[in-house]
Amino acid sequence: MSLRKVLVLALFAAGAARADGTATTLFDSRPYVRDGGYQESPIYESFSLFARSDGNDWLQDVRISARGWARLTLGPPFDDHRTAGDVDSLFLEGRLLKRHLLVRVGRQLQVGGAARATQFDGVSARAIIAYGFGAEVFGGAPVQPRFAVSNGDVITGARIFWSHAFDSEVGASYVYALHRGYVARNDFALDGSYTPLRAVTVSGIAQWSLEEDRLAEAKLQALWQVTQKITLTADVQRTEPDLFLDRDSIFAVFADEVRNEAGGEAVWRVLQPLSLSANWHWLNVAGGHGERGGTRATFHTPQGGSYGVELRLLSEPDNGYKQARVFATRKLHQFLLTVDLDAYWLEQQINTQKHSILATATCGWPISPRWDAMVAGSLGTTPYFERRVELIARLTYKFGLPGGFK
Amino acid sequence: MKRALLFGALSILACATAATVLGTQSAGDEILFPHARHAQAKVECIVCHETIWDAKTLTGDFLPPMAKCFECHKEKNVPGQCGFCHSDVKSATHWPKREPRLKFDHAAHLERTKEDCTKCHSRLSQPGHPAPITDGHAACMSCHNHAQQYADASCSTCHIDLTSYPLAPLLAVSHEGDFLRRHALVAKGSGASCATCHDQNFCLDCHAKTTMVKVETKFADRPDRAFIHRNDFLGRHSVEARADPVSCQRCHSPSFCETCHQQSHVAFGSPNARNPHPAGWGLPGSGAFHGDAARRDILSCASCHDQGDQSNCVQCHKVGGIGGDPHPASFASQHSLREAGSDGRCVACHR
Repeated sequence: MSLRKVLVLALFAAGAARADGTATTLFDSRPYVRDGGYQESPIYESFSLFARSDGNDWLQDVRISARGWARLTLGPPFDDHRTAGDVDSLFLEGRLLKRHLLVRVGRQLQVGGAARATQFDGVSARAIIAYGFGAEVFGGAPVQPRFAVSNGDVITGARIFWSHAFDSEVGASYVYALHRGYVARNDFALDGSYTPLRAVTVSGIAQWSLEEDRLAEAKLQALWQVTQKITLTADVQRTEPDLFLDRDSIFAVFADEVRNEAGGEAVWRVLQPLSLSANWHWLNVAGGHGERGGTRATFHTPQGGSYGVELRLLSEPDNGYKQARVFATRKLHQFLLTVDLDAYWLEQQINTQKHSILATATCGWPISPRWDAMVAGSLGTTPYFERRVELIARLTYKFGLPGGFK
Repeated sequence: MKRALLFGALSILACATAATVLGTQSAGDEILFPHARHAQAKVECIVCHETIWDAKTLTGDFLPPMAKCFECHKEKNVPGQCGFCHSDVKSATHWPKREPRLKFDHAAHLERTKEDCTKCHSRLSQPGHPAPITDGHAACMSCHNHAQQYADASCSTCHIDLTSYPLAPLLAVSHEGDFLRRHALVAKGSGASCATCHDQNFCLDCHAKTTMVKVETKFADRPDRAFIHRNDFLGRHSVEARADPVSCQRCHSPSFCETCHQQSHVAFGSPNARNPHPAGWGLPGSGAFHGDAARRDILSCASCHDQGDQSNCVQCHKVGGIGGDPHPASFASQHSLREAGSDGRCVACHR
């Protein structure tokens, strides 16, 4: 019996269940560098399922989420493995105590406070206690990244919060992680988001490494909606990059680095379908200064199409680049066509080259409400490939149980 | 470079102009349909909007074809009478297809309202006054549990894609502009708000350490979405990493960088490895001395030399080694050798 059937049957046992998901076949022939250029042509099969049930008197909103994939590589594989596969998520969750307590078990993503975005295998719980006060705890084994091996790692953490409204919340959090049996993370964080006026939101986070007694990260951001059409953002950020290394890494001994950033952004919705934005940030990195900026114009048509132009620049003490990009999305009969032209010019050579130009075109075809297909082709010249060719083909099947795809 | 920037600026202007023209040219013809007069004549909605009765989504054609009008107005089906319905028949075309922005089951709602369309459609368009045909949120929240869903900011219950809406009213979570860089702060502070619209699989498209391909490949047909590694990110990744190493480190551990560099034969210990270090790497005061570089950008070192104790700094930087004693002067007075066993950094030498 397939995993999909087992999961759905389990939900049916809990009450009236609905489920929907997708099965996707993806072919991606792309180049990689190894003593020259090679073309790798893997075929991926991925599967995702999201099933939910209303539950019963004591357990409500029961949900199962599952997503995984497998790969078969034609020709020489980049990572020396012809086949591969993994599970992105596989968890069961439900709400207890009249929906005051959410419990989740399995492979999941923990987001919030000091945990940043951590994928782990374990248990998490989030409780709304009273008057907007709540707490969340989690614990388990961090998911090993692709290519890495398990070292008996453990991660656990907690966050308490007070939520005044969905856009105003303050929290304090703690995370503790072991790697190879040694302390890898031992951080405390304060975070908050406050909307004193409907048009103003201020948010920030400060994360302190208890292991090093240093500030790992601090960021403060303010958004001001000047009018219905104009929004301004200002932010400042300070990070100490070595504190983002596991504390058991020998590299943590040799670093002495602080990075600061300050800047802002303006967004102008000229017309309902036309939006302009521009941002600029001053960077202070070890060894000098730099800047990051960009501007973008996007136009959405009532028919679901979009057109956009983007200019970006980034400079740091050792190198930098300027980038220009144009894209378009348009429905033509039942086909969805897209074009993306992207080019950048480097300040200093990389691999004896100073520019990169890449053009990508795609064609999507909704064969039926359940099936859709897409093909894409990309051609260009880049610092690492004199001629870069990529071909993508994607076929997606959407299903729903019972009663068909929603 | 100035030419490139000028070209870019002109492109923006040209595209914005073209897009504006493309987007407004369809406003030529208007169907002069007096809803009020038809309602007075007791013409039931279903007579014209037949397909809405069984519609479970907003995808489909719910407006009547011209033949439907002629079922009653037979006398107008002759040359010269087009103006009876069309404001500008020369530019007449098919009803434009619109992407639905709401999840709405007409069939279910008609059952609940006992087929009374006016429960939601409290007003209808009149010739020359193409007004909205509902009161928006008020229409939904006047009835049942949608008020609670609105209070909970459970937007995805009804809305398909909030990014196509204007900035107001939810400023804090507005996805306008460079939201890609801003979203972390929103998620850290109130991830539950994100969860009202996005399930974990949405986050995992980018944040999963196990993901099969980069999200830009998976959604190659969404050039309008903001992605970090779009197009030739490989060519400029070293610049991005130098400018903001933490942004890489949040998702990729050094082992990710190191393994990829090894597979590409550019890392220490891999076959045919090329030496990426500049001249003067081993000479203090040369301007390219590795000690200075390591203090400035340790994550770059870790991206190739993170294979463990035997392949990196401590080979030279040890008591009696050519790199000298790595401990500062007061180190011995502040730490005992017994502490070394509990610190992962110390065991590289003090086993």
